[in-house]
Amino acid sequence: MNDMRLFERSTAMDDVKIAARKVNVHYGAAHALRDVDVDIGDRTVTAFIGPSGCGKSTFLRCLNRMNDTIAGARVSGEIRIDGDDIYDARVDPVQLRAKVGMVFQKPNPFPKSIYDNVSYGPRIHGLARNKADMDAIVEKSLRRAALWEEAKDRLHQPGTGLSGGQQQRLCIARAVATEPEVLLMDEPCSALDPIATAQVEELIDELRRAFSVVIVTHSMQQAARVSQRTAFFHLGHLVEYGETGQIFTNPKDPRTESYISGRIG
Amino acid sequence: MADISADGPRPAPRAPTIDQVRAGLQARNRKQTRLKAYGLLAIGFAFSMLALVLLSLVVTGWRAFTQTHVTLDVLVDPAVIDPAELPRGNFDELLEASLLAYFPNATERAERRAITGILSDGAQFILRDRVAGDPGLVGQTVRLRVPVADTYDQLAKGLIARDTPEENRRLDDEEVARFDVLEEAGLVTQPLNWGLLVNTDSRFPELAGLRGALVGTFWVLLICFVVAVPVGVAAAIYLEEFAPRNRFTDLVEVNINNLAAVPSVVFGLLALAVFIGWFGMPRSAPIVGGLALALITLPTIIIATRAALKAVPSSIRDAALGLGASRQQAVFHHTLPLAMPGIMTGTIIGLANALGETAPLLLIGMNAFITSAAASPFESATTLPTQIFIWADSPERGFVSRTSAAILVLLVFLVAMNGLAIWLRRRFERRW
Amino acid sequence: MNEQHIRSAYDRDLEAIQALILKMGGLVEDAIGQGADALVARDLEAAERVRRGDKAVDALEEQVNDEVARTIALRAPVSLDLRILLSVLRLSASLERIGDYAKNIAKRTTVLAEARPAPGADQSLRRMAREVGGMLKDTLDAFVRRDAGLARDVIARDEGVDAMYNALFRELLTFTMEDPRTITPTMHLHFVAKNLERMGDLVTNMAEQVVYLVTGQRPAEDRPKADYIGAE
Repeated sequence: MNDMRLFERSTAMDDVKIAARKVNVHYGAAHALRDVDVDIGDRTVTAFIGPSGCGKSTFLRCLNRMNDTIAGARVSGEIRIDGDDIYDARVDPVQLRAKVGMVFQKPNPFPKSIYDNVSYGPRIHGLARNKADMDAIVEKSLRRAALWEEAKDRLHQPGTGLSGGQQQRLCIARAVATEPEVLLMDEPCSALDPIATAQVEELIDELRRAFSVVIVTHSMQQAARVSQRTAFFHLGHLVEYGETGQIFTNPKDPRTESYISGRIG
Repeated sequence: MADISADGPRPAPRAPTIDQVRAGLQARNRKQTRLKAYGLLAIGFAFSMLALVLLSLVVTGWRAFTQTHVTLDVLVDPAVIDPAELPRGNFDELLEASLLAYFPNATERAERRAITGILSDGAQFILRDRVAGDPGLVGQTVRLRVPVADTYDQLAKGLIARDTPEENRRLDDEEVARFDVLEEAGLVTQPLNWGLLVNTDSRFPELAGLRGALVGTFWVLLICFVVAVPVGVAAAIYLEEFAPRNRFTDLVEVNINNLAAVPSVVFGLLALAVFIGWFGMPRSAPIVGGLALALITLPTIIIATRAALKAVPSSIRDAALGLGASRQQAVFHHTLPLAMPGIMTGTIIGLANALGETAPLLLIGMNAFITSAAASPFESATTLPTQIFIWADSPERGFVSRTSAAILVLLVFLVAMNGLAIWLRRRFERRW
Repeated sequence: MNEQHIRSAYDRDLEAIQALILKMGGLVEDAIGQGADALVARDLEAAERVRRGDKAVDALEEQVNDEVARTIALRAPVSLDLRILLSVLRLSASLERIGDYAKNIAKRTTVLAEARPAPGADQSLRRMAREVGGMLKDTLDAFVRRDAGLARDVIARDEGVDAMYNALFRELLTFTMEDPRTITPTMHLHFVAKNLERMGDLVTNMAEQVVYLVTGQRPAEDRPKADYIGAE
């Protein structure tokens, strides 16, 4: 959210968490992303907006190397998280994804119990030494996702029995259970009703105190509400990137102006 | 609203849409009814064929489910039976003695032989086993129920008609009269023929049973399951999740699909040449039959498993990968358990098909005459289909009905297995 | 109706804007009070302080405009939230003009410093200033508490301010007629009185805006006006 606590709002960024330089992505012959340069800050919510097919989801998937799982995808350029190039040959994508979590568009809890959903990530990465540790991790994650009160009495019931908004919060809890440093969200609210959307956005506002959050959204209003910095993508290019208030009141690029006022896209 | 323009009166306005639709509606409805009729006709034809098959089986086979027996009180004469040498005892003589009690006028040897011929040849062994089980019976009278010989069984069931002229009948009037004596004495019963399932094969129809075939089928299916399922599931997982998409993989896929279409006889020849010829495995053994059937079932299981894996939505896989699971962990922790119902269904259907395979098993010799059930997969055995084949070839009249009865038993198993597959699929099916 | 938005930052944004208005209102209230006191005491330094203080009010008005524009762009407010923001814009415009009038009064104090004080007028002016200041304070309270009744009271009190102006006008006329040499300071005093009367009108505008904010409708009855300038 845009904090109107004026003394907190600054246009300069103190901590750069993710630095991308000259990132290009090809899907087979199609050139999906062209020369993207962007710095994403720590403890901020950065929104990617743009019309369908503009490359925002593609770029998001580069940040946790999910594009590796797509046959025919080629990524070039440099993406550094905390200074380390994540596309270096020595980096194991599996380890990377423990540090960079992801929440998807359609809530996709595993058809297991709520407890097993949240504990899956820590379990495969060996983050809990015993059951008490794991219980503590599960509780902490569910509290973080504002789901603890609703879920604590039904931890061993299937996660698929929750409502849509609760399922998405469960997916968020699952993603934060591995204590990632960056949280990627690909249109997390598109499948939710307005109240559930509001709850998830409030949750994102709380999460950003601990993580760097990058959210792809096709709703400009959501980007306006939720983020501190916004990046506008168009036809594979990063057109404009700046502080959210400035983008929505006085954008620099005419393409941005056209998109946010509904003249193109 | 007559609109007279300069060129003359305008033509009548076109009928509104609803009228045009209504005009064509009758023709469309008729077409639909015709289509429905064709469908019903097709189903009706299929069902009537099925009904015909079942009817003919039941009509010929139902008699095999009962077996005519005679109940005798046999005195175990210690003069004939020596308890120390029980197996050598002449039990036939004892049976003859008890039977002849009803025919006091029979004195000639030929006649006595004919009377004893009413009972099955295996009757003496039944008596022997009874006495061997309880040697204290020597000297006492034992009430015994033994099956009659096949021709008399046919007579009792009306398959040998009494009103055909004597020259054309299997049994002449005297023989029939003797049998009638026993009947009037109330000794003849027709209980359910449990022997059909419990006894092993025999030359004599009244003693023949399917136990050998059932045990053989069990061994064969077990071997088939143990070989085909792990290999098939693993191959499907590899092809679906791990194989790179290149020409070689495509070639493999095409070949698997083709294998499913290969006639099963070919696999029998393969088994004969390779397993029995090269590897020197025992002939007629379930291990060879099981391996041949495994090869036949493999493509089915691979295809079914792949379909089940494909049906798991990729969002689950993405979620697992997004959390940092390796491809292997994503498959084994998530995709495979969720695909299990589909895999199970495919496996059961594959096994049900394997249950009915006859040609390859015949080629490897599983139609030998076996009188004891196989204790291990390496001993000779028969299976249900091959046993049916053997009985169908046998000359004795009793085997006619028994063949149909065996087919009915096989059908029961098939229906049960397919029914199990359907029930499992319904129970565990997920709606994504 | 639930008081708080699910997105708590939205509430924080609205509160921050309201805080700006209240701050502006406080500054203007002080300007009125201190301006009147400086006038009566003919205190040049105090008047200068009031004059310079108007810059802060202008700066706040600009800030309010920016923040409201930003909030409207980013939140797409509707219903009560939209009325609050639109009201804030008008309130800040009114406050800025009231501030300008207060600055004007302070400017005239410099001129009046040489003249003889006119006790009756001074006291009346101070009373009028106090009344207007009170009305402003009550209007801001009504805005914060969303109290339409209090706002309507303020609207009614404008009649009193107008009456006070009329009385002052006649009083100052009498001064002039008695001693024509006092015409310059008296004219300035009259302008001061007029300023205060205009400030009262502006505060009444603000109160009407508050009624609109709370009820969604403008106050029905015509505002009672009593500032006819008729010859007696």
